[in-house]
Amino acid sequence: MSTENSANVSRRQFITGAATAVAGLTVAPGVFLLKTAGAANGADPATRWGLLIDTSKCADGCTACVRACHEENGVRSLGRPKTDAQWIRKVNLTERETGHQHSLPVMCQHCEKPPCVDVCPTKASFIRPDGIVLVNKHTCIGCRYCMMACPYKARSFIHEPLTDQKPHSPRGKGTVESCTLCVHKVDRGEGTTACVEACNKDGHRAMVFGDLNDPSSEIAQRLKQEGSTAVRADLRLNPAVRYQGI
Amino acid sequence: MRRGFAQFGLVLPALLLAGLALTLTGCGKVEPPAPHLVLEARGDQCVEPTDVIRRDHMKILMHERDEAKIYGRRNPDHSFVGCVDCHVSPTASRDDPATHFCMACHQFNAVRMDCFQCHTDQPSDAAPPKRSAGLEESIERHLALQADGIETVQEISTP
Repeated sequence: MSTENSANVSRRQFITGAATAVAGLTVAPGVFLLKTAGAANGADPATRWGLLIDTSKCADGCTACVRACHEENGVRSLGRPKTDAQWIRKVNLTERETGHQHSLPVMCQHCEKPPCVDVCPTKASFIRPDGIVLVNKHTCIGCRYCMMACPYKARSFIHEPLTDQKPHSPRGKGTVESCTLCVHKVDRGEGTTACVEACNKDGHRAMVFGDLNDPSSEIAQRLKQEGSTAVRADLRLNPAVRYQGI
Repeated sequence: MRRGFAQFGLVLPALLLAGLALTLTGCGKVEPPAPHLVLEARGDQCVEPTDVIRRDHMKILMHERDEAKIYGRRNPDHSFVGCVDCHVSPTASRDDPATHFCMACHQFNAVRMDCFQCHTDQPSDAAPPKRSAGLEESIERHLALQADGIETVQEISTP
């Protein structure tokens, strides 16, 4: 297998997304990486993962999603609430006129046009082909521009050395992090997230995870039939996390 | 007397064979790990020949990390977690390089790496039983502080 040949295969796969063949990639002279590129391997640009949150079903005081998220990703308190990482938080809203209260989870909204990606000087903040917005901690320099740019205050900076990270969720000092939409679960093909699982397990069923681009998916059908609200829709970021009842 | 020697002549190779077999059995085992010892791989063999891995493991990891992170194209054979799962003892720690498969060699060769500043230094099967209790307590504290600390909850204002 020549270097040129393998580069062509890889390029064609990248462009067409028809990833069914076996691609050989040359890493170094004499080192060939053979890998199967199946449909399950790689973020599919045809999909866009998102969440639908029905705030009328979201129970006040319930923190199942927050707990599940932080347990899944090994996020924990260092005893300093001002700087502790928060991938997801419960926000309580009160309508001033009527006093009506409800509570809803807020996490990275996985915008189609993410401001955090626009401002990142190293392109460490990026959007995957399937619409998940992530931080590449290998190239993140910890400047925190993305934290300032995010209108949802979704990102956290890690100030201190960490230990006991989860194998699927590397986290470390000097980098910014946020909700990954449980990208490790998505890549394993589980089609769910820790927060959605926890919400369903508790019987609230306030959250739905799915492919916004698939017209037959539950989330797409509900969005079409019932409608939804994007938080700060005026910014035209087209978030993939949508709310009902706010 | 001569008969005794003949018997000894048979017993000696048998003893040697038994010793060899015991040594070989011991090589593949991870439990119980001896202190200050770099442990052998759990699998039968590595994903690549040893000389390739020795020379090019960093290239393989570096090349495929961007593929995995940015495009989600993960190669289970060349996954960082896979390396750690197979080679690192559940009792090893990055703080004690002599016990850690990766760190011991890197320290000996004076090559600094920062993988384990973010990635876990322990195999995935070592994680849950050891930490679940502490984690639960920590999450409780996190949630309690979050409930108390008003400043951590941002009001999303609409213009």
